Amino acid sequence: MLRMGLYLAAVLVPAQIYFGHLNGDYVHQYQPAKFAAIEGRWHDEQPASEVLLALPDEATESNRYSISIPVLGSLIGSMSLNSKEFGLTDFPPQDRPPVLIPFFGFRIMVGCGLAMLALAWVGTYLSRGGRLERNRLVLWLTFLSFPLPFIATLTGWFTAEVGRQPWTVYGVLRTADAMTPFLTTRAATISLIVFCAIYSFIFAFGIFYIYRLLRAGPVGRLVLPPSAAIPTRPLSVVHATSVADALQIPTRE
Amino acid sequence: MVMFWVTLLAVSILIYLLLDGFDLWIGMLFSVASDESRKRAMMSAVAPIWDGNETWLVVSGVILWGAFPVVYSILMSAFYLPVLLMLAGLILRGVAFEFRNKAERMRWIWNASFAGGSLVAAFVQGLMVGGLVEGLPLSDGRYVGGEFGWFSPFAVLCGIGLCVGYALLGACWLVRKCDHEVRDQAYRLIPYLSAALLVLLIVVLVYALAKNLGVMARWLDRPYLFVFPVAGAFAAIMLAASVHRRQDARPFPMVALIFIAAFGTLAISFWPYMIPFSITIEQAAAPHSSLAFMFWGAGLFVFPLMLLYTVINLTVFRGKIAAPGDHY
Repeated sequence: MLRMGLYLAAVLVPAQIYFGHLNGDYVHQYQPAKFAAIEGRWHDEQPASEVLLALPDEATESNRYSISIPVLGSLIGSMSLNSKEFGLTDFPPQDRPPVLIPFFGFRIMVGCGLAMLALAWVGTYLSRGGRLERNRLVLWLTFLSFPLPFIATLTGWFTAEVGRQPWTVYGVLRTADAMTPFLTTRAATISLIVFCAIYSFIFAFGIFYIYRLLRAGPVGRLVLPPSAAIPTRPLSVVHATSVADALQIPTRE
Repeated sequence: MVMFWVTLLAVSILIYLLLDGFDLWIGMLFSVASDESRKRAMMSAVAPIWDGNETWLVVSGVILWGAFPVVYSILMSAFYLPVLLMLAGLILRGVAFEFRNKAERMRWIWNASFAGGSLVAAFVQGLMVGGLVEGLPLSDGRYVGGEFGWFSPFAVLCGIGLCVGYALLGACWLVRKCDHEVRDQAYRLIPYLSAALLVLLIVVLVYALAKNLGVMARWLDRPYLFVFPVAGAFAAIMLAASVHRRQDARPFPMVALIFIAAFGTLAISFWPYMIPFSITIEQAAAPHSSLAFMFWGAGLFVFPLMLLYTVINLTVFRGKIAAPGDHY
């Protein structure tokens, strides 16, 4: 089971990164303000450098503590060594998205993606030699990596949605104009609180149950799904009693 | 094209009512079932199909949003809080299916979620129908009633009525799918539920007459609409007969017929208005280009696919449930 997951990840994570790059090309072409915010690029540059890490400062329209690689920006943006890349100052202030969230969201997402890539490839390499089951470090890292896809997906969405502001339809409809006239602050606050409460409740329990499943570890019996498994219920693959056996907990059934 | 989408919307809502009706009620019945094996039997009766049943609610919402955006905006504005409650109920109920089996000490939380979520969702759906029938304060095509403009005794009555209706559907489904005590208990419930539903329907009718709701004038204008209640009455008689003779497979289709009759009574009596009595179907529809765009994708492919998988789902799982083991 573990091996199958690692092999699949070793193939799918690079594919995902490639598709992410294609998505970036699309954003570069059609939503230049978002691209500039993601890159943290305030002024036009030719050739453009790629900011690895910085603290964007909207008041001074510059980046503080910036670590950047020259020319890489042009390569990533337009696949050429000296293309001109647009900066945020090209757009009037009311058309610029907030910079902090897309900037850091993008970097967290890519970081998670690269971490998953490293784990998948290292895990695959080790398991080919049969050395995976004995390598505690990699096993622990794989176990602890289960939030990474969720974080990557969520930060990716933050980048996409916040970066597109102030537009709902880029260049056509502003979010302020798209808002329904009926919606009061009170109603919106109530719905936000209710959704947050419910999702926190469900995710807390969900993580707890997933943690219990993962703690049972790669057990030989789990290679074949037990007869009790039903396709429409993903959690049924691990039967409650086999988990309990592995953890030596008496079940109250 | 507009007629195509109206038909699709009506069919989606109807299928949703029939399919999710019974699995919502089984949730409500959960709190009444005393022991674990009965609870498992009830879960088994719906576990393979409830997911697919929910998709019809999603498709109804999507058709409304894409094809009839004016109605969608009015309904979502008017029923903002009820829809929120319904979603909360549906989310909790759905999650309870999975988590119930994983929990041991905490199982009561998921039982409560399952029962409570189902009750809230069913009640709110009835509430929305009631509020819609009674009439929403509109001005210039926009809702102006405030957050609780929909709240009224009539709406609450419709909410309770829908809960009872779903209860009847659920009891008939259990009769069809389960054995022994669960089935017998369901059989005992059916006469009470039918009587309660009848009483509620009469109260609703009297209320509508007393308040002189616009819908009543409709009826007197169009006597051919009476074919629906008559069909419903006929189905009710068949229901009583099949319960009396203990024919397990018969009650559910009969109650389904009653629901269809009720739906026809309500929906078709509003024709051609979508929001009684202000917005007609033509006014509410999206521009032809949107409708055509949706047709080629959703109308031609997705909708028949949904019908297909629903039929397959119900056919594959048509028999009685196996003896409840430790899984479902």
